[in-house]
Amino acid sequence: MNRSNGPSANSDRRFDAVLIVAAVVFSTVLLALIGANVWVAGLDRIGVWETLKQTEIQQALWLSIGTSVYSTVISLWVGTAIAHLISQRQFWGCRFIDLLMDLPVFLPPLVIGISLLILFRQTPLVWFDEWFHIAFAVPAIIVAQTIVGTAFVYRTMKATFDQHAGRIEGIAETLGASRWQVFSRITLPASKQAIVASIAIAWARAFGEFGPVLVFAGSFRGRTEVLPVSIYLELNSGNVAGAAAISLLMILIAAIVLLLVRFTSRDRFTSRAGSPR
Amino acid sequence: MRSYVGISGFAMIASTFLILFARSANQGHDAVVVLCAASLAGPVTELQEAFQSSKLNADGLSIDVLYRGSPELLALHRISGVGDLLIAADVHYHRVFVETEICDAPMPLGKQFPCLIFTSVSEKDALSILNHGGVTTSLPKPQHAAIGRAVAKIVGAQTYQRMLQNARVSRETVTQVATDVSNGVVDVGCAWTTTPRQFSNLKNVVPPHWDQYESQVGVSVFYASQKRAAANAFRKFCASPAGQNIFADHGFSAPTASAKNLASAPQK
Repeated sequence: MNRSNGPSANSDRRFDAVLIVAAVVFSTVLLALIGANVWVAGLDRIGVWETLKQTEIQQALWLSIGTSVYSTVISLWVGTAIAHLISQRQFWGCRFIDLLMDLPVFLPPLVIGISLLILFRQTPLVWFDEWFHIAFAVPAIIVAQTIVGTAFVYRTMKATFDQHAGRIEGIAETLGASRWQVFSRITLPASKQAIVASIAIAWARAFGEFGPVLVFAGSFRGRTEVLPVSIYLELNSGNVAGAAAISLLMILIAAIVLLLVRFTSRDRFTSRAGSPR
Repeated sequence: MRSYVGISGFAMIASTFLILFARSANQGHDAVVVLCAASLAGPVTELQEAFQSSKLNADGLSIDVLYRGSPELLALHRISGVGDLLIAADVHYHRVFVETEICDAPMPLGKQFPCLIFTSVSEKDALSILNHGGVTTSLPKPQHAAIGRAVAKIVGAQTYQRMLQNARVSRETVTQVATDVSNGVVDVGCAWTTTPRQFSNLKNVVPPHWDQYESQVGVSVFYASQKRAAANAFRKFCASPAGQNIFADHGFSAPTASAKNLASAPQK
């Protein structure tokens, strides 16, 4: 039976139409959000330029990129290690750890911020903070970003490791390879797509992290000011056009990184790993 | 595996350089930390810059300022112990801090009054919010912002509660209220007489009797401060003629004698 003429073809067309409408509507909303920032920034071009020229904003840009890259690397290693452990080994408490790792994803960001602040300033751990100067300093930004980033890396990597479990790795182990050899020579190379996805998610979360950073690192101009905090500070001083300009800057950087990740994952990792494009 | 380690190492070294590059050379853990009411960002930012470049700052002290609502600053100091100095928008908060033995008696810096702010409506329409008017409002919460507390005291707690229920938005800081009015989200809001200085399109009107409520801005040093000498140096600069001029430029009136009495209270 030819599907292009039958009743199922009509059903398919309706189904496709619903999907297309959803895609078009949501894309329009996203474009409108970006457009709103462009519009507000465009109303006060001099104010926008003055804002972006500020030394503090330029410092915030470099600090945002620096801390988000730093925390992404830590999140990637820690999240991948724990994901591999929980995926490959069954032991007492592994389900609890699995549950715990998801917690930062579901918790409101402010809860993470206030919990970090209490942990480092109200508990016996305060000596650690006095010694290493974490709270209200740059390390606080990295810690806050890493907590959330690691949870996202863990979830992405564990799903991939779960798919691989017991197949090629099992064969390699029966051929005498150690767990380390299996992990470094088989599991990791086969998970390149997931690693790239984890990097993208962890970095994006870290780059846009606001609540925990505001509470745990404060909002000191030029010291613990990352771009989301800059937006908050500009809004608080009544500079809406400046806040919109920083928002656009963040959108631009995020778009560049997203394109880089897409380009990298298609041209290098995916083709080498042999996965379908 | 080696390539992952190599890329990670390179990324961490590069980001460390970026972080070091981003940090100001003159700021760090030796900076005096000022907890400041969000509504005072304008004059205090100028004070910070003026002090850091003044001759009075012979030791080369740097000042870091954290802007929040006054009750939030209190909570933050209680949880973390952060802060050497407090600059609150209303002396009421200093009293709370002094009574709880968190900071010493405040040195007055200036005074301001509550008012109504608006952009497109008339003065008469703005004043109508006190009598169930048909204008939309953004009002500060009395438990979060000094201005909310002040207006609630003037019009009565029950009346202000009713005004809050009818408001389109209720906010935590006066600057958020001013941003709402400035952007045309609402017609009228409650703010300080100094707030319109930060927003070029805002007009203000002081309703009858509202000028009887004086909000005294003051600066105190926290007892827990590890840099009391440095904190006192900045406090003295704030109260000096140079500091007072900055406050006057931002629309603050000179502090009154009653507030000066607070400053003469014994210090720990």
